[in-house]
Amino acid sequence: MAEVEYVNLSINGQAIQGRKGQTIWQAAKDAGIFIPIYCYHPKMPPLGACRICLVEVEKTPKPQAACTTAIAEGMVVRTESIIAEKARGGVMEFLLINHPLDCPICDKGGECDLQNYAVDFGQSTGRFQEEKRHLGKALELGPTIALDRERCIMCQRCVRFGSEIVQDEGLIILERGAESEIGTFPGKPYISQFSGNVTEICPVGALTSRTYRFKARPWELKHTPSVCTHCSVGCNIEVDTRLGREVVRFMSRTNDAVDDGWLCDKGRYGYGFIQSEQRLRTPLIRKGASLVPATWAEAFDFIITRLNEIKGQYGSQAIGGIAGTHSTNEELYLFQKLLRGLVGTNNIDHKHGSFGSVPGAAIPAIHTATIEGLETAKLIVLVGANPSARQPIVELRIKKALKAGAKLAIIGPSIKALDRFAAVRLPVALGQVEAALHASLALLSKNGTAKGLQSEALKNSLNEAYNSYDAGTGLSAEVQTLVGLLEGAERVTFLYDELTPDVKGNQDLVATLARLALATGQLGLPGVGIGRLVEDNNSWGALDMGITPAFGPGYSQTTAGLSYAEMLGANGQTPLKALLVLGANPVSHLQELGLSGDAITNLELLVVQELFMSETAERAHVVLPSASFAEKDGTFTNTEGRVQQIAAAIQPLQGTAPDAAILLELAGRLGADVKTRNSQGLFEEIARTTQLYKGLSFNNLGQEGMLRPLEREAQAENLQIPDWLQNATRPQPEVLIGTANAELEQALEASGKAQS
Amino acid sequence: MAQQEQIFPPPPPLLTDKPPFEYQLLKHRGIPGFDKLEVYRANGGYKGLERTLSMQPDEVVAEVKASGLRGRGGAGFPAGMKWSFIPKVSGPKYVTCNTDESEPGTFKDHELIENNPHQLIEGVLITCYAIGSEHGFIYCRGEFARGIRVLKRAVEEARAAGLVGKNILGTGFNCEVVIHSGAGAYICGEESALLESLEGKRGYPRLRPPFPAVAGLYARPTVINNCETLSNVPHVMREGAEWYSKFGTEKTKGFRVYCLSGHVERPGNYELECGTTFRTLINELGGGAWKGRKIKCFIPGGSSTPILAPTDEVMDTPMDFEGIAARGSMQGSAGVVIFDDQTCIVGAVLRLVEFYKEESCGKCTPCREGTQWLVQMLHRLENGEGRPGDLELITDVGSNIAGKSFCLLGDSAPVPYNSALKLFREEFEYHITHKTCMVGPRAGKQLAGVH
Repeated sequence: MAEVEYVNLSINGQAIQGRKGQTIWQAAKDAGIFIPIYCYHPKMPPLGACRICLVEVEKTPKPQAACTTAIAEGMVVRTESIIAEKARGGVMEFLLINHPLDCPICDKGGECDLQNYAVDFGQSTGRFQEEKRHLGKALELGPTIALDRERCIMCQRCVRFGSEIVQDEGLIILERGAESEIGTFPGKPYISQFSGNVTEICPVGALTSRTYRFKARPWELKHTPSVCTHCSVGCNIEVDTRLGREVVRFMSRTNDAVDDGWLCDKGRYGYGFIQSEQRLRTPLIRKGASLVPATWAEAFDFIITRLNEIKGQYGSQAIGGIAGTHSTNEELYLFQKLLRGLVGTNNIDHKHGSFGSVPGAAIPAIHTATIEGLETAKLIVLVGANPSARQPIVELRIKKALKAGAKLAIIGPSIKALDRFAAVRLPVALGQVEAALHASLALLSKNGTAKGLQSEALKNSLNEAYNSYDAGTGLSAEVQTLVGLLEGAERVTFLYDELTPDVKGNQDLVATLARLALATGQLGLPGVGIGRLVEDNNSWGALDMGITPAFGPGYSQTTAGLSYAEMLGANGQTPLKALLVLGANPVSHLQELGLSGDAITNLELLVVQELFMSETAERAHVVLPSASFAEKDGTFTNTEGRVQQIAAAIQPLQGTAPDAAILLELAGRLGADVKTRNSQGLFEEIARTTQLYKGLSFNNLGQEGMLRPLEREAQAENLQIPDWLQNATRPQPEVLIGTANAELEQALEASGKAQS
Repeated sequence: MAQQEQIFPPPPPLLTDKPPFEYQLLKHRGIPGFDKLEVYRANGGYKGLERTLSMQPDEVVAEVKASGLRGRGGAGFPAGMKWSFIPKVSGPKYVTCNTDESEPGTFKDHELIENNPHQLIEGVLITCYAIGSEHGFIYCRGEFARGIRVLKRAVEEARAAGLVGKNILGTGFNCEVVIHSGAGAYICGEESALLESLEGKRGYPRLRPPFPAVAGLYARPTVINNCETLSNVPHVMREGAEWYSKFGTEKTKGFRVYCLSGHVERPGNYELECGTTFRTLINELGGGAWKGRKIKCFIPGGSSTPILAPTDEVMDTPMDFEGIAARGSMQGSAGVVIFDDQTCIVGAVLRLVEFYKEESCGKCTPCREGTQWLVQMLHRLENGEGRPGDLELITDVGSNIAGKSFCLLGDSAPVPYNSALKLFREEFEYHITHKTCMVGPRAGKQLAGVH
């Protein structure tokens, strides 16, 4: 890292030290001096258009825009001089002359920068006596966003969000001069999965979410810091509730490490479920063919009685548990503790992608890539992953990295939003992704540029593979290009989707990828290396908390229990008599797993904790209505292994209870001496007993969460390149990495569309 | 047929048989077919390029520096100096010719490209050679449809003759010249907005730094010169810096085309030595105010320059950068616009400010909002609905635009009002007190409520 150069200047007589290259606005902000801005947004390059940040700079003839002027040694800046105030007041007046001043009916009123700065810097009476500009109200730009052109101050933030951040030119400026207005290309409505962000960066009430219009006034809102649960990125949000009761919107809560200040529309607008009429509001007990409302006490009595009977009759191995990947770490930890400790079974699992031959203990150690680390990567390789569809905010981070000069390689089906940015694409079918990695590894080995491959068995297997590729279809130009990029890049991030290893042909994808990362010197590098793009907001948490038959919390060794498929009746078995389900819907996977469902039918006790009636809940003997993430405290672990806190924004809906409370009650009734009841205490227990979360606490997680200590401290030398990496690779199926023909391209395009 | 098109209106009849200055830039006048390569070459055309290609690029820059040639677009920056700022880096560099001539009262480039296209192309080629560029772009105002056709034809002619393209004149110098049509925006004459527009983007001025010499077109080092500037270059290179610097005044060398328009007997383009007086241009060559009237005032260098009154002191001012600056105005684009004594100054100012309002790109707040407000107030004033305090308010609003806006367009917008108010304050006040014009065809008529 280059040494930071400092620059001395003064602002309003106060001596300031800023970093070289900073603008006056940035240096002032760091020093706690406020300068208003509209067009400038810290996540975008300076524009200098709105002029509200004009300040006086000594020895310059005109006031300068603080957001565009670089600081210089000895610079003397004044923000409160006559010159600065005249300039700022003039701009303020210009912004207001055509503004409708309809604050009393404007959604932004109360949290509006125009309103706030008008109070700070404007005049109490206007000098404008001409006719204001009149334009139609609430123009619908697309399905999500409405535009009030009269309120717009043409700061261009929304336009530049499209040109600089999403790079899709979603919103543009029409017309010129005083007739300028925000709009879209003719006949193209504003459709973007990131559209909601423009309402948030709009400094005035011009762009509003159609779902939030006239729903609440800002001063009625209670803001609760939380984490979005709609995918595994874990974007930081604020759950805004009207008077602490009704959830009316989600807003971003900028976390540079995770979301960079942006939310996708799926996350931003996905709050309707919380207070949906469809939520379960009472425990249900099966009476014959139907589920009948019951009290909590009846439900608990029923469960405990039946559980004890089944345990007595069939033994604890006839009992199992399936958890979902939306529950908090604390709930998941409790769930497995209850099953392992009180019931005495390791029949615990959740639905997750395969790790192939990678040993459990090595799983967290090889996944070191972080979202923020993408910005330090020189090459980003998407391995059968489609973040645009499944982890949308990662798409924006990739685009940011590309803008800064990184290159992109895509292995696998087409990704509509990213294809055009790719330096190289290996458009193979999803089932050939591992083969493509293997071919790249073989070529690296052949080129003699592969690092860290020590065992002869591995080298031989790779050389053999190379020869077979060479003798067969040959290695295509794309593989050669990819390998060239891999050889030349200092830092590489490989992102794979957790479900890709489950696709036939990719059985050992994770290990192959680990070998490729090792061969390119990227294995275990902090920030880059391998990243697993997981399915849900707490998919990692479920693994970390030991919701697997093979290992307990922190990947600790246990006696193996039954796996997900086995519990659900793989191989025609019906091994369980009782199944506890925590926020999961295994019945929906039966078809995918090719199972009959007999194992479910055969159950004598099926307990389901759920928000909504699901296929699994419909077959349950007892259904317990649980609380959503907005109604409870806890932690989630996101796709990069960052542990983040959520807090209850509203009380649990009447009739429901948080899963942790339910599990604790069950544990108590099963004879446990329950001492810790709150999430904080449970998390402390996790941190105390699990090496992986050592040192973490609610206090140090803070507002932005923390990476699992392992990720923070990962270093290649600490990783102890394990033996399993040096094993010979398995023989590959026939590889078809030729230049994709038109037919294959079409098929891939179609599959890409189907995914997104 | 395109070949037989009537080109630019014939030069205004001169008062004398002989032009007061031997045509250099306007040599096409009186020589039929000058837009043809053959005719151009027969009259010394491309001799400057030939000489250039026999020299080292640095020597060419030095020669142009020594000539004292200054930019004709308005700012008057020394051309050779501008070229010398181009860093000697590998990779593409570009020359861009600003032919987006849109300043009210300016129409010299119009005549130059329609009648003397090779002169400009030769200038572009020489500039490219001097800075090590292989691409010259001529950005033309979209309305110059005919000029664009002429230029394109001329480029093809030049290409066929080995003057454009690969291995020019067998010297190994490669250079492409591209003619690009703008879409009718005054702002695209601002050099950084021009670059944006040339790149296919919306014509908004860019933030500086980086300056075009460092990161201009496609973020590469770029020289941007006005059409007339580059049209001067072949003469400098053909005859040498010493010859060129004999013309003009001490600090403004050479010759230039003055555009005379407005209420004058003989409007048109006049090529004169730099430093000729206003009196010579307006009275001796232009025949003074039309219809036997008197000159009320005039714009000396395009609408962005302060209006001057025709006092003896002003009329005897040499038209060069320093001379006009000493009278409180600017040389600008050398577009001289005459107002006769029957002109209502308020109406004239309104018309000028309307232009800036219409052409404001809308990027920055002061120019976008302020010009519209100015027009609204001036419109009221002109139409007999002025109120006490309006003049001060207009002045103050103007002061909130000038020096506060993103580019020079905003700085220019209040110029007509400010300079006219200084000269004709009583006329503005008359509009407020009498609700009508003091002079002109509407003088004394009731205006308010009529329209």
